[in-house]
Amino acid sequence: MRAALVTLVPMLAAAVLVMVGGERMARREVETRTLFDRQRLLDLDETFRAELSRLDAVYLELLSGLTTVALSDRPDLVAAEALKISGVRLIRMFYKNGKNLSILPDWKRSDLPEIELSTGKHPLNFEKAVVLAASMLDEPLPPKGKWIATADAKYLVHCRQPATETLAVFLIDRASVCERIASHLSTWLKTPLTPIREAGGSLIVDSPQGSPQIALGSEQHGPAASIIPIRTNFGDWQIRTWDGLVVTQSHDPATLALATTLAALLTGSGVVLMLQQKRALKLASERVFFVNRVSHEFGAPLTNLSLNLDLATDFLTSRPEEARRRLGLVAEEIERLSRLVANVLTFSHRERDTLELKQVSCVPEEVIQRVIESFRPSLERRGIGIEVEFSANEPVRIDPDALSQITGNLLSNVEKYAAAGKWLGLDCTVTEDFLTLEVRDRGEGIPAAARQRVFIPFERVLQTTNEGASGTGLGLSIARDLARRMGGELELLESEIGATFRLRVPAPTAP
Amino acid sequence: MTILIAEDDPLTLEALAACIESEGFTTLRAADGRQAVELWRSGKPDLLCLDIMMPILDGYEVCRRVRASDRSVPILFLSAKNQEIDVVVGLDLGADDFIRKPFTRSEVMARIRAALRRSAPSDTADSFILGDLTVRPRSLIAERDGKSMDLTPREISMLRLLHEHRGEAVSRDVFLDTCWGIDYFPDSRTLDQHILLLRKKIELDPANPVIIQTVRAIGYRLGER
Repeated sequence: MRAALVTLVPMLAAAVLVMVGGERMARREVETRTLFDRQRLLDLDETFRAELSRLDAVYLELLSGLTTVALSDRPDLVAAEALKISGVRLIRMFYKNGKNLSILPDWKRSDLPEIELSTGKHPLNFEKAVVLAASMLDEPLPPKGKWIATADAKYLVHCRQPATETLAVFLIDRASVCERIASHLSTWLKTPLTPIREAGGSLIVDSPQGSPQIALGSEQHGPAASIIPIRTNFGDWQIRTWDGLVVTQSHDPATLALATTLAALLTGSGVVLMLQQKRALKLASERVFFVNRVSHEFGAPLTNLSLNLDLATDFLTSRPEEARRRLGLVAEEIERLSRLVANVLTFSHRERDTLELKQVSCVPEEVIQRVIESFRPSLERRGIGIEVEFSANEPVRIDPDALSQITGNLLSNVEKYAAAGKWLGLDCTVTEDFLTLEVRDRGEGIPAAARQRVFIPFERVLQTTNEGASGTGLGLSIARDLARRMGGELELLESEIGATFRLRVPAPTAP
Repeated sequence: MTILIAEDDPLTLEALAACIESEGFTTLRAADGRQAVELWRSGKPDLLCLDIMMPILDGYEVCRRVRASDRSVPILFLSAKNQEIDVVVGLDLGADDFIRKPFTRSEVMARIRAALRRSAPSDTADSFILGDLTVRPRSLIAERDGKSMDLTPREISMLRLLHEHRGEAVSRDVFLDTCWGIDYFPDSRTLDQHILLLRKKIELDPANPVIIQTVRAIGYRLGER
C-alpha cells in the first residue's frame, strides 16, 4: 500500500492530468451561423410599431374623454374617471378667467411634481415642478394635445385645450402606462411572433424599463446580430435578434494519440516503479528480518558458551571431570555456531552470486558420519534415537563441504522441529553415479500446503511467537540451492508419519 | 530458595540451572511452557526465569497465567528475542526484568538477586547480627553502617550456621552437610574457596578476618568482638 502511494498514485494523477490536458488541446470547435430571417423580422417590426401607435392613440383618446369630463366642474367625477386610466396622477385645469383647479385622483400618492403656470403661484419644490408658459392659455395647441417632458424622468405631462383660454394638464406616470402596455403586449405578441418561432429564430423584445418583455430561442449568446429601436411616448422598445449558431466539436487524432501514449507511459512507469519499490521494501524487510533472526540464533549458543566456560573454570581443580564435560559442551556449541556461520556465508555468497562448488574425491559415508557425530550429543539429549544405513563407502567426486552443509541443515531441522518423534532415520546410497540421501523423522510432519514453502528463504511452517523452536529460516532453502548447484535436487517426499527429505545429486566414481 | 527455569534449549537449561545452584539456590527445570506452569503450581518457586520461545506455551503465556493468580512472585524473561517490542510486551505482561541472550553468569545472577531483594518482605523477623554486620536472609544481603553487600543463599546459610553455633568451632563436615546437602560431595577446597569469597565480601580486612575465623584442623568459628 505504501509502495503504491508513493509511486503509482502520483503517476496515475499525472496520467489523468495529461489526458485531460491532451483532450483540451485536441478539441476543435466549428461554429456554423444561420442568419436570422430578415423579412420575418421586418414584418414583426412593422406590426409591432403599428400596435404601439394604436396604443398611443387609444391612450390619447382616453385623455381626450377625461378632458371633456374635467370641464364639467365636478372634481369627484373627474377623479373617478381618471382612476380608470393607467398612469394619470394629477389633473390641473387652468382658466384665463377663473379659478384654477387641481384634481388628485389617487390621494394616497404624494410627492408629485407641482404643475403651475409661469404667472401663477410659485411652486414649493421648484426643481421638480413643471412650470408652463402662461402663453399656452392663449396660443392654440394641436388638436391631439402636447407632450412635455418633466425634470423627473418618471413622469410625463400632457396638455390639451378643451376650450379657448382653458388648459387641461395631466401628469402621467410613465412606468404605470408602460406596465399596462407590457401586460397587453405579452399576450398580443404571441401571434406576430409565430412565424419567427416557426423559423427557429432567436429574439428578445425589451420593454422601455430595459427588462426583456418576451424571449424566443435559446441561443442569445454574445452581442445581438441586430437591434431595432421603436420610440413611443412612454419610452423606447427594442427588438434584439441573434443569428442561429451551431457549434460542432471534433478532436485532433494526432494530439489525442500523443496524450494517450504519454498517459499510458506514465501509468506504465508508475506500475514499474511500484513493483520496484515493493521489491526493494520486501528486500529491505527480509534483510532486517535476516539480521534479527541471525542475531537471535547466535544468542543461545553464545549464552551456553559463556555459562559453560564459567562453570568449567569453577570445576577445573575441584572436579576436573565435570570441567571436561563442560568444555565438551563448549565444543558442541562452537560446532553449532560454525554451522550457523556457514549458512550465513553461503546465503551471502548466493546473494552476491559468488558461490562456487569444488568437486574433490571423498567418501560420502565419512563426510556424513562426521556430521552425525557432531549432532549426536544434542540429539541424544533430546531423546532422539538415530538409525543410520550406509551404502556409500567408495570414493566419489563431490563437494564435501556442500554435502556436509546439506546434511547438517537436514539434521538441524529434525533437531529443532521433530524432536517430539524421538527418532531420526538416515539412509545413504551411491548407485549409478548418483548419491541418494534420505533423512526421515517421526515428528509432526509438514502440512501439504506448506510443502513448497519450506524451501523459500525465511519461510517457516510456523511463524508465530509460540512456535517453540527458533531458526533462521534459511537451512532448507540453502540445502535445496546447494543440491541444485551440485546438479541434483532436494525434495520433501510424501510420508504418512513425520517428514522425509530426499537428496539426489550426481556423484561420479573417483578415478 | 527455589527458582523455576523454563527453557527449551536443553544445554542452556542445564548450564543455567548449574550456575544458579552453585550459589545455593534450588532449581525446578521445565523444557516447555506447560511444564513450567505445572511446576510453578506444584513447586511454588520464589522466582521464575522464562524463555520466550518455547514449545506448547510460550513464555508470555506462562507469565500471563502466573500473573493471573500471583502478582508478587518475581518473573525474569531470558530471551534471544532482542527487539524493543519484545521487551515492552514482556514487561507489560508483569515481568520484573528482561535479560537478553547472550548473557553471562554474573549478569543473570545479579539480576536474580536484585529481583529477589525487591520482592523480599520488609519485615526483619529472620535477620541476625554478626558483630557489626546485620544479615537479612530474605533480601540476600548483609548490612554494615548502612552499606549493603550481596550474598548468595549458600553464603547466608554458612553465616547462619556460624551464628547458630556462636562460641563453638564448626567442623568442615557440618559445613558441607548443612550448606551443600548430604547428597552433594564437594571437596574441602570448595568450602575454602567459598569462605575466601565470603570473607572478601563481609570482612573489613579479608587478610585478617574478624567475623569468620579459621580453627586449624577443624573448621571455622564466629569471631567475637
